[in-house]
Amino acid sequence: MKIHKTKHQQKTVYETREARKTKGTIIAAYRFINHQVRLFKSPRNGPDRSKNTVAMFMLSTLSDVIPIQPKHFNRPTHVTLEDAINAKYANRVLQSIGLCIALHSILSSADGTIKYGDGNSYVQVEFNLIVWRPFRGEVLVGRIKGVGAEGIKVSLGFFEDIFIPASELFEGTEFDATQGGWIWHQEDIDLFLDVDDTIRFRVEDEVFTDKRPMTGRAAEEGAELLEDGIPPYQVIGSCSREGLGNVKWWE
Amino acid sequence: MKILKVREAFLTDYEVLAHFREIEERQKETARVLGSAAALGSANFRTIQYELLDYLKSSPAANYTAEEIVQLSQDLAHFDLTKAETLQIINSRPKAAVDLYNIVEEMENRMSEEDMHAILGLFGVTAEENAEMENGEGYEEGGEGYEHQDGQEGGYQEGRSQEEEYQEEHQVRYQDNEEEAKAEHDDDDDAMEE
Repeated sequence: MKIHKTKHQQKTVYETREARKTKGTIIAAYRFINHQVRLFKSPRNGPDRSKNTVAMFMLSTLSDVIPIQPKHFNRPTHVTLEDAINAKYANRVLQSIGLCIALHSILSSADGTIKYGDGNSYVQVEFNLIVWRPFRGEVLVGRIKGVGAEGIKVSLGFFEDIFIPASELFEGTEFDATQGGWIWHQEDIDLFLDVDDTIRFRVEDEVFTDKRPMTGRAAEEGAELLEDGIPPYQVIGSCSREGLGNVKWWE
Repeated sequence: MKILKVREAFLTDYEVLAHFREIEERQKETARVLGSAAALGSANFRTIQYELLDYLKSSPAANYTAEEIVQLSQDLAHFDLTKAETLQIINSRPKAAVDLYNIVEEMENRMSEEDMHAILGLFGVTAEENAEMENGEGYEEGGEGYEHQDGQEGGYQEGRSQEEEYQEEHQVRYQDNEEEAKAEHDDDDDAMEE
């Protein structure tokens, strides 16, 4: 049984374990309580100088074993490694790290070893990966992908799962189902937030959801099935300060 | 797979864009030598490459050169900014005070207005443009007050006096002399009634 604890964690995540019933031993039964790990619990006052402050794009150092197929033996190794790492990591979410973009640089690689029964050469590589992970307080510009009574969905093109809940919009905005948009009522003007508008928003929070397929034991014990609709990495934004909102309002 | 260091370094948008441009160059070279099929990466990588390039090319960071970035980071080091804020300023190229307020937290406490204008000046926003923008907003407010004069007589005088004060402060000239004359005329009437 592994207990994962991250720095800002308020709930611990337990893996399931089948209870072992033997005479005299304590029955330990854990369940999947919650796979959602919420980060960024730092208070909203003052500049966020906490250790978790990251930039939109950052470099992460990873170490992995990359197989090189025999048909690529004639190519320079670093080219094959780069293609393999990009194929494995590009456009994928690594839990608690962010959206992986591409390989940035290879730091070191060992000699390849060949395993029994398989012609591939396995190379241990250390490399830097470009990862996208906006930090709390960052101001981003995106396109409104969908509007609803609960809030606004924003997309950046390469990342689609940004959500601005209704509570985080300007005071005095309301959703108009007939017109299909959010309207900000001011004394004399009505300002609109419709689909396909460019919107400037502030990142408030992020939610990682572990969507690993459940092992056989967990499925037998009837652990809760995660809905398919939850994205593995979701960014929660806000749009309530001066300068934010539809880009056209502030030009 | 092992994660050795979650946060090795931060990258500006420009650096990511430059990296992808290099990748594009190498892909073109491979396509030229080995044919376009050999230059095809995996589908995921192609997707992220295309979408990210799209996003970055339309962002403010698209027109930088390497020297500009170095110069900017040196200039911004003179101010009391956290690393995250410097990065954000470089990435977003603020054009107005409002943009800076959103990036730099508690700016009123940490920076004077001169500093703010100095930072905006780095990006080519001159002090005149700044003042114009602030005046421009004020002009609209005066215009709205002007329209309110069409209301009842009770509020008529108040609306007009606000507008007169505004005119004195900002030296904006209204072309509608007729309304001014009307206002003066009405003022005389009210004085007589009292």
